[in-house]
Amino acid sequence: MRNSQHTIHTRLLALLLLTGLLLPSPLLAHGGVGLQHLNNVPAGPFRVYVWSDPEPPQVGEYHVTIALTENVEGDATGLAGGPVLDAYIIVELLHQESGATLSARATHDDALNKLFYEASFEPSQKGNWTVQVRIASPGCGPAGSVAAQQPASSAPPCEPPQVVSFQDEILPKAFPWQAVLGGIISLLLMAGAMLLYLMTRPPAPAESPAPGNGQRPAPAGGSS
Amino acid sequence: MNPLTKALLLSWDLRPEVLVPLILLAALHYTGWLRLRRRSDGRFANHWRLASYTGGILALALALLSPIDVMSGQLFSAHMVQHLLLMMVAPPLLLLANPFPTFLWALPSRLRASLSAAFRRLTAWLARDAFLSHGLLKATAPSSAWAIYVLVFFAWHDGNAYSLALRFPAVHRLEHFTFVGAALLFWWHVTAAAPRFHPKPAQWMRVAYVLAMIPPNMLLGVALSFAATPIYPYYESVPRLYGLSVLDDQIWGGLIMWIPGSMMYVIAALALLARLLMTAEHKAHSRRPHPPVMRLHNRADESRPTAVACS
Repeated sequence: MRNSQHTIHTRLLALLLLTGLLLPSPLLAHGGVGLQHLNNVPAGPFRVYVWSDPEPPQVGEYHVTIALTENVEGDATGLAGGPVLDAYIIVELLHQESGATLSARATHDDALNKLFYEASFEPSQKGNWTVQVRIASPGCGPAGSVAAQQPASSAPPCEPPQVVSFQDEILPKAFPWQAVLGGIISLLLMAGAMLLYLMTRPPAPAESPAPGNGQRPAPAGGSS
Repeated sequence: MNPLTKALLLSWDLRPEVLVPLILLAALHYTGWLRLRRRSDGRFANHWRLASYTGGILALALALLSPIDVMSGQLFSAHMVQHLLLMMVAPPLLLLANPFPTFLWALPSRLRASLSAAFRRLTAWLARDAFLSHGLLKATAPSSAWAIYVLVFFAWHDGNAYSLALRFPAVHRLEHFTFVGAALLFWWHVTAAAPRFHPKPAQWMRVAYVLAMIPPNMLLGVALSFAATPIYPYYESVPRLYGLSVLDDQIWGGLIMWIPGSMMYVIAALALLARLLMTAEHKAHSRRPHPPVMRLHNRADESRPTAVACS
């Protein structure tokens, strides 16, 4: 009985500790979408924005986020066009040293912001990579394919896909110093809480000495 | 529906590292609330407090999981709504529910007793005239809390700090931690929620304390709304939405900070004033002597009924 009670208490304490540790995590924020490579670059009927994540890029994980807006004629700022949400986008990674390629379709499904497109890769080699983004107009199918260039008879002819590219260096996997730092801070916080507890702990009650014959207190009013 | 609006409304980010703690916090509070309600007359675990706490949790969820969070990287005005929820809506709602005792009641009796004892010891230690305890009390006193709140509020809306937060997720996290931390400290003194280590400020002091936040808030709102150039260049590197230019978006953000932001403090001050007046009225009623009982022969019209009063 006592054992089961102890187990329940231990579990509850663990739950409390977990809550305490997780308590700050609701405040986690996004920050940005990564490092920006292309900002408001005109490409045919589009203006293109491209970011890559994580930062710095590392072997094993690489995300390319793309945003498209309409390229409005006569707009000097390039900010007048609304977002293009139904383009067909293929992202291709080319390793410059080995010639290896990786290809993926960028979609809204993978993107957090559903106005953006995202393609994810797992590059296995460090070094310089060329990232090529092929954009086909809405309704023009797979970007770059010949079949895609044959639209329905009533639709206007498809323009060739727009291609924008940039270079990025993918680094070897780094030591997870952020996680280590987080762990050290958590340990310091726990040590601080423990210290505070010890500092505020009441002193142990002093043991009262055994009454001896010769140490009897005098009766109230004094003794004669 | 407009495809742009539809895409925006679908941009929810239900991150488990946010959802799980929010659910845990809610579960802990509701368990305590139910227990406390069963054991008391409902004074400490009433429906108002439950609604307030739920509102606080929902405000946090809305700020951190909904499209508001996702859009804050594209629209300055959406980011200001997020800051408003994190600093001026969620913390006062959570603290109005006085959640600390309720959390304690969610625990088994032995654990509750030992935690309460630990807090009593902490209070006793803070009352001691030691350097550390004295410093800690001073640092969390109402005047310091106000200063910290204003400092955090202004510092993170500086162009460079704000751009850094948008650029680096770790800095953005730090921004949110400091916002909510400073806001909880500030609203803790306003709501007088437990645990209390400082003397409870008088009601009129609390009204003045809340109203003192309006000028800094207005100052920032006005500065943002009337700036001739964009203060946050980050927004020039993302696609614009609904034809809103960077400057127009900044004006809207400033207005959100200025008007609804200031309204939050006005509402809090009005609520405190109403409570102050109610308390004063209650005191006046309780102190008012009974009306003198008129003897029958002194009354002008003996046929009319008289109030039954004790002599």
